[in-house]
Amino acid sequence: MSSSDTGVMVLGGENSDDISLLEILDRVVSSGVVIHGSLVISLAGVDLIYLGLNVVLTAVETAQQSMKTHIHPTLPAPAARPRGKR
Amino acid sequence: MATPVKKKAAAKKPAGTRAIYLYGIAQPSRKKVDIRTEAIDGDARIESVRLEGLDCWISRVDRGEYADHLAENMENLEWLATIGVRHQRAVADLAAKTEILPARFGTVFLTDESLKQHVAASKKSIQSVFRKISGSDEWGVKIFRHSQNVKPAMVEAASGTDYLKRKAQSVMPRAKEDDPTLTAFTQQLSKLSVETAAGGNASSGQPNLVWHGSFLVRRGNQKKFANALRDFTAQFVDAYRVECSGPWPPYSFVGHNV
Repeated sequence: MSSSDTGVMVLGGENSDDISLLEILDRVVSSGVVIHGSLVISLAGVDLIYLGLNVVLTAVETAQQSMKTHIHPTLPAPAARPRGKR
Repeated sequence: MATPVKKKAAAKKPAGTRAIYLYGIAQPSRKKVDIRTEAIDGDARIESVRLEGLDCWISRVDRGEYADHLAENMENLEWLATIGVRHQRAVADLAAKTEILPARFGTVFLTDESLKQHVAASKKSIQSVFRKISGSDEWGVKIFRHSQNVKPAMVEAASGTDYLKRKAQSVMPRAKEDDPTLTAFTQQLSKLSVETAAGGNASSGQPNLVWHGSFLVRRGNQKKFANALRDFTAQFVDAYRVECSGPWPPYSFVGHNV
C-alpha cells in the first residue's frame, strides 16, 4: 500500500499482496460471470459468509483503529488485515 | 463436514472423483498464454480448454472439496480466505495476459460435457460482454468519513430520542451519506468510466465507510480518473479519506448471468 501526499491510498497495482482480503472477497465471491455450473453457490450461503466476515473484520479493524488512536491520533486507519490470509 | 485447508492436494484421484473449477473465459490469444500461478487447490495445473471458439481456463480439482462440500467450505472463513486469494491471483495473472471474463468464485462443473453445454448456451452474451470490457480495468474506490466527525452525538443531542437517533447513525456503517459534494464526485468518476457498479457486501460493514463502488475505466482514461481522485481527496482531506484499489480484472462488470 502506498499513500501519496494528497491522501489517496492506492492498494494493489504492481504489488498485489497489498490488496486486502475484503477487497478480494467483495469481488471474487459476489461478482463474476455466473455460467450455470453443475453447482452454484446458494445466495443464502453467501449472506452467511458476509455476516461472519463482518463480525471478524469489524473486530480486527476496531482493534487496529483503537491502537492507532492511542499511538498517533492523526494517522489514517490501516486497511483491515483479517486472519486467514496466506 | 467442512474441508480443512490443505497446502497441497492429495495424490491424483480417478476421474469420477474430480471436478472442473472454472476461473474465467477468455478470447483466444494468438500467442501462447503461459500461466504459472498456483491453482485453486495449490496443486493442480491451470489449463485452457478451447470450447465454442473460446478459451475456458480451468483446473481439475477434488470433487468432494470443490463440489460436494463447496457451500459448507465457503462458510469456513479460513478456507474461504485461502482459496479466495488463490482464485484472485490466478484470475489476475490471466487478466494480465489475455482478455478474460472472470467467473464467479465456486463455478464448478462435474464433466467436460456440462462445461461445454453451458458455454455454448451463453456464447452470444459472452461475446457482447467482451466488447464492453475490452481495453478496460476495474478500479475500486472507498470513501471513509473521518471517525471524529461522527462521534459528537452525546454533546449535540437535544433530547433522549435525538440521542438515540444519533447514536444509531454513528454505529450504522451502511448509513447513507447525504452530501452533495460526495454525489457530485462519484458522478464525475462515473463520467470518466464505461460503467459503475455498487461495492461488494464483504466491505459494507467497515466503520465510517460512506461510499464504495467500482468503475470500469478505459486504459486511455486512467490518468484523468486518477487526477479526479487526487483533486477530490486533496480538497476534502479534512472530511474524507479515500482508498483506491486496482487494477482489477473486471469482476463487477461481467454481469450476474450470461
